[in-house]
Amino acid sequence: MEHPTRHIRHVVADEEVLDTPVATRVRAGLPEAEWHVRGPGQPFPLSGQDQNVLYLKRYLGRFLRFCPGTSKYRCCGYRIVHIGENCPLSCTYCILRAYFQDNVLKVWANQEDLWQELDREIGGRPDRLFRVGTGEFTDSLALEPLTGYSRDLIAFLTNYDNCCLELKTKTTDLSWMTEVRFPERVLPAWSLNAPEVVAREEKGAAGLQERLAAARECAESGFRVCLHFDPVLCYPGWEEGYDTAVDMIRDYLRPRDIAYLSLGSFRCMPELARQLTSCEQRRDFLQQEFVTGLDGKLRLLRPLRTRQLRRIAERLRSRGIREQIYLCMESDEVWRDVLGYTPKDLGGLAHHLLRRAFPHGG
Amino acid sequence: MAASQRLFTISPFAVDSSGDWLFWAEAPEEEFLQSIRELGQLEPVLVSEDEGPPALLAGYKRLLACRELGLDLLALAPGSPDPVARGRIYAESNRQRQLDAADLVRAGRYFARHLDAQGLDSVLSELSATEGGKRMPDLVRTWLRLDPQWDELLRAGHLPLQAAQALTRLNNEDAKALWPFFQNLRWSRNNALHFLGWLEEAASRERSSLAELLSSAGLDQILESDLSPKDRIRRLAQLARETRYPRLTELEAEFSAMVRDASRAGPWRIAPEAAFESDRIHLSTSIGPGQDLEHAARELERLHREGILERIRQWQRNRLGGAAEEESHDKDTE
Repeated sequence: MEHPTRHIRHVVADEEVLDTPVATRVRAGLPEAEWHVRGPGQPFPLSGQDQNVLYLKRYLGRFLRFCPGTSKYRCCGYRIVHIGENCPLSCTYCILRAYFQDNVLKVWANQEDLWQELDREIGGRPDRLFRVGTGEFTDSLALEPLTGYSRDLIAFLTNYDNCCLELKTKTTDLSWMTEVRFPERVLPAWSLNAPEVVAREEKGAAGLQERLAAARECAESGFRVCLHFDPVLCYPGWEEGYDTAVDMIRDYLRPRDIAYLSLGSFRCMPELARQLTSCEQRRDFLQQEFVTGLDGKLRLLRPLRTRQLRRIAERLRSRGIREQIYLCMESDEVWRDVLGYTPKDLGGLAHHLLRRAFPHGG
Repeated sequence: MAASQRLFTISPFAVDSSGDWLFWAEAPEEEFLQSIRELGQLEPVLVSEDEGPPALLAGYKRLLACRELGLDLLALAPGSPDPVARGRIYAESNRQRQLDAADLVRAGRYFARHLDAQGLDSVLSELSATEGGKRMPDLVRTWLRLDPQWDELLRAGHLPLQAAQALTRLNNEDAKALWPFFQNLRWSRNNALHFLGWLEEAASRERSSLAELLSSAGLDQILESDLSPKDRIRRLAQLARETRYPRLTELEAEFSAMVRDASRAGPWRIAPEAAFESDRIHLSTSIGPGQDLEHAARELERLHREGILERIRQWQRNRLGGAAEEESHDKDTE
């Protein structure tokens, strides 16, 4: 796997973050890159070069956020630690392409502000458990060799025993492991897919075997891992593809190594579908029967996706992975038809996943 | 150019009016002829000073009117401009014209022969400044990639400029097969774009050519039917949607059949959740002043008593839970 940061030719840094640890590491890691300093109020100094720019930004918004789920479907209640936007990997189906206005890779380099907010929000509520993660608006570890961001975050959260951190990735970076003192409070997580989807749609990401090998290494080091089949794509031959992926999981991991595993059918904003349709290369998965869901996103027609999710869930169950399975952004109807119960039967999905993340309590 | 300008009269038959820069040339209307007849030619036409006979640069209607009325033509000669300038002079002298998409395409065809992509974009932006907004130059440039024979359908209002994006993706065989569907039918923008999009996606999914799909789905039979043009368009769009969304439209048809009798008998309309995304159903009615609320309430009670709502629930369990897809898949793979 070629390193996903290989395309970075320019670094734009807000003046206020030039001397931060993140900026210092990036300077050392990208000695050839051209640096552009952006003063307060100045316009962004580069345009039309989105693909090869890394922007180290002084972020002024909220770092700890709720997942942008919708009330129309069941959300897992994951809290996002917002550390940056966009991703150096090139997955064709990536919702970030439509979600953000540009493709500039951004890292919030003012970590001191992040620490203060996390201390206030998490440290200020020691009686409450937090399941947080950085993999919603970017890949948690794709930039790790360059920024060391997850190492810093792990080190910071060491003293907050009410917080469990999920690091979701399609890479195999494990450099953060040496920073971990309490493996039970860090959940390395991998997005998985059928082998042909990985090969065709996830350019720049690690292969399926490599991801599972990295997961096994974590499990052998005392971590529980999380797995996410998201997006599940529907294309000719998907049955065999996902069967293979499920069987591969069991080649590398034992059910008890897995904290939880999500299934999420492909859904996207209509703009992304238009972008993908206008690409030269044919996308089989977009030719299926997509309809507008209750949240305005395009989704596979309910009976079709129910059948697909149920088949994958049954395969997982037959391989001993049972109570770990949950559905990402689905309705009670689909839950019932796929798994035979609804989040309410679990005491609420967010609550259920907190219990999976903290099996021994906080 | 200004230094060489001169005003003169000339026989309208001595002026060559065949220049391809006269891209919006149209014969004069009766009102225009009447005005020239009564008031004479108030503004000179523009002609070029080329070797050979002068060529008309602007003033096509005035030229034709003078020919028809047997009048000499008042002309101004601004020199011998290059092809791009000829097009620009003509467009500028028609500044008052309300341009539509077909006008922009006609101008675009001319300028595309003489300008590079950037120059063409700049001219189209100028021309479309008041028409269609920022996207117009892009749309016109896309249309220009089509065979010019499609221009006549755009001009006739049979399909919209936005259709170009889908049409340019077609190969010659598919474009030829699709042509009759637009040749004699005037499609609204929405219908045309949906029709093209559904067909293209269905053909791609079936891995067949669009020409094959038009035939295998029975669309060509509808085109040749005796239905009125409006009904033909409605039926063609409907069948294209069924071809693109076979399961969804099948479910819609089943649901409609199931509630048809119940809805027909009473004031309640029963509809599923959009795209069957949940098992929720929507019951609606409207009651005007003086109308019988009690009747509507009794009818609602009847729907419940006769088990119609329960039948819907049963259907949802059977058809939306994915079991039917598994059965159909098992049959296909047997």
